Amino acid sequence: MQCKCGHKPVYFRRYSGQHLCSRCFSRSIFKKFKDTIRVNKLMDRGEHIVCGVSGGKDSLVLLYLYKKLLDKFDFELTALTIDEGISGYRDLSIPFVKKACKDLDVELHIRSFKEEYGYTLDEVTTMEERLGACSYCGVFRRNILNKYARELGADRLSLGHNLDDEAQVILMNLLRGDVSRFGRTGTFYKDVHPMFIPRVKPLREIPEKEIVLYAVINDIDFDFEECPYAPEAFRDDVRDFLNDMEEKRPGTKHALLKTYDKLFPLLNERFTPDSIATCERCGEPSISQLCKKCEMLEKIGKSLDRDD
Amino acid sequence: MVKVILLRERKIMEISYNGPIKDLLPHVDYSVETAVVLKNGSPVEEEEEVGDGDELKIVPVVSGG
Repeated sequence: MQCKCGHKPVYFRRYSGQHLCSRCFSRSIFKKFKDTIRVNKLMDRGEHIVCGVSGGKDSLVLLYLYKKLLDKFDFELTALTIDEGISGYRDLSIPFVKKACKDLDVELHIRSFKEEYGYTLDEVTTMEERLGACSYCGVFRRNILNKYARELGADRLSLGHNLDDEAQVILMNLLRGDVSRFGRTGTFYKDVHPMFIPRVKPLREIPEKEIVLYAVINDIDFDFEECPYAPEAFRDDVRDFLNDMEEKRPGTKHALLKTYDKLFPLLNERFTPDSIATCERCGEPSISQLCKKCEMLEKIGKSLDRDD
Repeated sequence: MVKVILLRERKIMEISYNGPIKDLLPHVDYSVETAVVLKNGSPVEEEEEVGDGDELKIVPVVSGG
């Protein structure tokens, strides 16, 4: 079997039946990235894109693709890294971010939970065990990313979610019966608050495996460790199910995302509010009077008082 | 013998095997969906045959969190 260009293939894309050499494969990924941005209007000329970069393969590939796009399109690119304070994990991945930003000549800003909230994630999990680490991390990370993307003057905050991430979240929310969250995985966001920076996900149609292969072919060094807090039984089950289905019926993950995208405008219309409140304590966008982050910090404070 | 290097697990295994890569993957707890495989340093399709003297590097697809 040969690639259509005549070279030896390195990848069989089962969902489309294509055998691709490394050059045609890399071109197809760049094209998918550009098409996703164009079709979903994820960027306008001259905008400032702040790219959340963790040091894992998704965000480093995203940064690399944006850098390539700078040759063809006029926009501003900045990298933003959040150090959650996870020892043996984030401290090992940040050097990958620093190296990539230096090699690609992209300005990098690093913000940490410790300087922002006074605690590392490791400290939070030893103090407050009622909620899992991922609950705190998700809320704190979204808050800090939005806040600093805004301070950096971002028009959009770009994140490296891939097809597998999106398919898993869609199925998890569906199986949980969580309809309000089910309506939050789409290609666009309603303008619900002036301090909320729109989030975009240009890799959402690219399978996780293709992101890894792209990184390998293009010599993008990344950290392939898994977050020590990441193992979550429900997500693992959903991931295994989707991988199993994809092997038996190639194209399953794409079909799920496509179906969701067709439903999304209806979900968004029905379940997303037209505007949200402002947290009375920190001034960030919030569903209720006190935002989730301030609520969690209050809980941590009380838990410290109890220990004293 | 095929030398299999599991990058995440930091483990090297010697496996007596002749055949396509896709059928070897379950023996090291991976599948076509969960691994990118380098044969003798280069990425290859999983239909590719491996045998005596070959080296496989298994790059995990799932990482981060």
